[in-house]
Amino acid sequence: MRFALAFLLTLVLSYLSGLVFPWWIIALVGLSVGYLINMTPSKSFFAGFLACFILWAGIAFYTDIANEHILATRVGALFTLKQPILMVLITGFIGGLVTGMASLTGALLRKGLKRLTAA
Amino acid sequence: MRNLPLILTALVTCALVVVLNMNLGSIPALGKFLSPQHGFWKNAEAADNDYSGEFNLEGLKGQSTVYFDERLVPHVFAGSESDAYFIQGYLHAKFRLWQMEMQTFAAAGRISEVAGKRTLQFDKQQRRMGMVFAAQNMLRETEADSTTKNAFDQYTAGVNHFIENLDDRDLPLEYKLLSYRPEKWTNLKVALFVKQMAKTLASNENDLALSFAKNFFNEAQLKILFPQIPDSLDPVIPAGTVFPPATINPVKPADADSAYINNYNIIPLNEIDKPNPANGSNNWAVSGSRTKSGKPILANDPHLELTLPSVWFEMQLTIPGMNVYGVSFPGCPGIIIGFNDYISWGVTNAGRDVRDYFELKFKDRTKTSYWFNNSWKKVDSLKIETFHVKGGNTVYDTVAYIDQGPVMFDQDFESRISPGKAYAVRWIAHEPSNEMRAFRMLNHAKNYDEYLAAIKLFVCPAQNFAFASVAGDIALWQQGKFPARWEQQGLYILPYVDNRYTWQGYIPQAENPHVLNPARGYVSSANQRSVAGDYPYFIPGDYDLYRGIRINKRLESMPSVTPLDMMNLQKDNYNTLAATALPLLMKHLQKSGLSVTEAGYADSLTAWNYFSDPGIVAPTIFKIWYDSLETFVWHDELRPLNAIGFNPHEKTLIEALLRDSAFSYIDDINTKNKETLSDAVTASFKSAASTLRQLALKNYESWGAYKNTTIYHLLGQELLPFARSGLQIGGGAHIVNATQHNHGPSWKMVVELTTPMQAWVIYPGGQSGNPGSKYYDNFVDDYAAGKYYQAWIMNESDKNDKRIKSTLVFNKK
Repeated sequence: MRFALAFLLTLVLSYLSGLVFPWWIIALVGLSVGYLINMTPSKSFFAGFLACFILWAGIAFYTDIANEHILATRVGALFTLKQPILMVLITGFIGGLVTGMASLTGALLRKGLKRLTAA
Repeated sequence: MRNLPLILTALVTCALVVVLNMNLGSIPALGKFLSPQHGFWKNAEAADNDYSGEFNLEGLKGQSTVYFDERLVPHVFAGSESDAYFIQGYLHAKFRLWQMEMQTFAAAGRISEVAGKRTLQFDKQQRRMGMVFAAQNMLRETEADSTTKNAFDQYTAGVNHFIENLDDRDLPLEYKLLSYRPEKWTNLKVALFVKQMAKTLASNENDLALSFAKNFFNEAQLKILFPQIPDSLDPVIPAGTVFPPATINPVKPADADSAYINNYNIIPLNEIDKPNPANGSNNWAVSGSRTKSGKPILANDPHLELTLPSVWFEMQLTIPGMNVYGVSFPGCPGIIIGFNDYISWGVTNAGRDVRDYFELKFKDRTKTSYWFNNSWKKVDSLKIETFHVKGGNTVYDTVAYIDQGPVMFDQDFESRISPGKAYAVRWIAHEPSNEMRAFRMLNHAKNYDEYLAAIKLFVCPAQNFAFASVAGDIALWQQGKFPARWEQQGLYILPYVDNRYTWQGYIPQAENPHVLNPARGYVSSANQRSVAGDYPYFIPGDYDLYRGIRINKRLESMPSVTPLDMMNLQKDNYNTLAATALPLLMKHLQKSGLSVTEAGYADSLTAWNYFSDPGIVAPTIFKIWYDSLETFVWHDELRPLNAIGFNPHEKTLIEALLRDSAFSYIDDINTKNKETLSDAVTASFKSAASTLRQLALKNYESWGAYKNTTIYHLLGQELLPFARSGLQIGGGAHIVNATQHNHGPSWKMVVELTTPMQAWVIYPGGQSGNPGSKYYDNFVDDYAAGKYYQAWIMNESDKNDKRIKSTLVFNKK
């Protein structure tokens, strides 16, 4: 349940904040959700990773289809990638990695602060 | 240390975000670049994108509507001229902003702000050549006229309306790749764009290289190597036209032979980014007496570097009293080549020398005074140029200006120049002019007189303006401002210790070469010398020869011409250089000593009909053979010129050989033997055959594969995936279909002057500059296949036509 909540919260907040703020807002979203929703650090990482992977790869995939793969093919070739779908996956991976790491940091921060208050 | 994982993870996360937010070499900040809400995905335009919209803006005079057709050609119906230019500026920016800004950065010598130190020398040269000075002079003249000032103001406002409402995430892709933002557009940038065209088309003389050549060759030799009038010239103005005597008669200074012609001692002065000698065009107009419809037909195809985005943007501009269709330059208001309801016009480059250099002597390194009339004279001004180099320090450069123009070369720019020596440049492009007024009047023109009144104002870059009207007139004027020179004046750097070597006047406009309704029933130009030796002025320049010969020969032989005939003539692959040279070369080729492969190559040349079609090998053999023959003949004597990339024109060798098969340069001075033409022809053939065998191994020997016609992105090799390469197109240098590797017909237009007008057009690109749009290169395949589109000259009553895909409305607020 918590995993699903963290996942959805990250996905929705990342999308909405991305409409207004610079791209790195996904790191702050990941950090906050990781901190607020009490899960094991590894679950936090995966929730964050998955949310932003799906968000970024999803938008990219949709854009790529509507674009008939024109730009992903050209930009992909700049990065020596032959298939436009690889640009979609790399996009998702980069977004997921940043958010996942931020969520992990949030979860560890929560644990650290808890120890501090308990001591 | 139980918090170690936290600290480590936090550090790694921060590092990740920082690295992804940083440009690493040529790789843009990946986080931002990949983010589908910020980066390149935002430029991946949906294939069915709708460009419709509605604006309510202050500053507009009334309501206007833009209809985009299925090729994304905008048909602008504006309530007033002022609104039309605003909308044109907006549309140029919407589809071509990056390109127009980049080209004006290049004009202004500001590329190193984006590209860093490696382009600093280019930038310095642009400033020292007086590009900004020229643009300012043009702008002053343009803004002194309220009509053209308003055109510039409105155009600029339209561009800026787009820029001001442009979110970072919607920036054109190139800004994202290079990580910068567009700046505000200005009227000066329009003038800079025009001056960049002036540089492309009117800085093709070789004064500096020829002056250097004097170190090795005397005047008589130079006249052979770099002759003024080719033997086989078929001039623009029909031979037999009688020219009135010159009204300006410049006088050659008495000491010209010793102080100028035979005076040398010049180091090679390096011109960075010299214009491509292939820059040129074809145009012609056929009178109704020769056409099937009885109405004139006009054709034009300007040859420029082929790039994506294209240099052209197609559009229709309609306002009360004017309905003009054609191509515009993103960066510039108005229609440059096209037609309206009454007339059509097309341009080719005049190619005449309108730039000279003057040698002077500075008193000292402060460059504040120079030796003139036997005393030290103060320079007019010292301009400090500033360069904000990306990733480096700001660089300053001081340029002296004298009455002739900017001092382009001195020790501060070219360290090998001996102390004190300096070279000022005088260039017609520096002179005040109002080309906007010329184009505006041309867009409105209804007949020959109005066409003439319009083009008279055109100063630089000088063009051959072909003209045809619905009323039935055809005409051609070579128009621009030209110095009246004494024989040999300005071929080389001129001395400047007093006024005796400066320009003594200009050729009066009415004496410019022109022709109206000639008896032969057509006018044409293809960058050949406009007139033969009977024209009363000395007109050096950089001219083609063979395209004009072919065009006239074809037009001469065509009965009842149709637009289709004209399209086929634009696609004509007949290689006149080959047809001129090959019979002589084959005659002197020693066939006895050839290998089987070599004999095979010789046979395919014998069988060749001189058409440089893409699927055959003969054009490749000829090209490589002729190149290697040129090397054989010239490279020994001309080594020092070859070293600076300066060689005789291709036509010069064959004309010399046809004149004299014992031409003295044939001998290789590095051998004891005396080589004959037959030796030269055979040796170069064998060398060409060896190159061909290498090509054949890789299947590159067919003309299409060898030439590999490619349309590069403006950033060239660095963005190769954004280019279109391997296009199978015939033609080449000196051929009417002038398509070379990355150069050729940048716009092809055939107009039949019926009522209503009919036109067939195409250019190798697409209307959108966005590499993420399907309109980026959607004309390319049709262009390569030799197709044309029938231009849709829309009436506003057609607004429900199914060809209209989007509608953009502009209202006055």
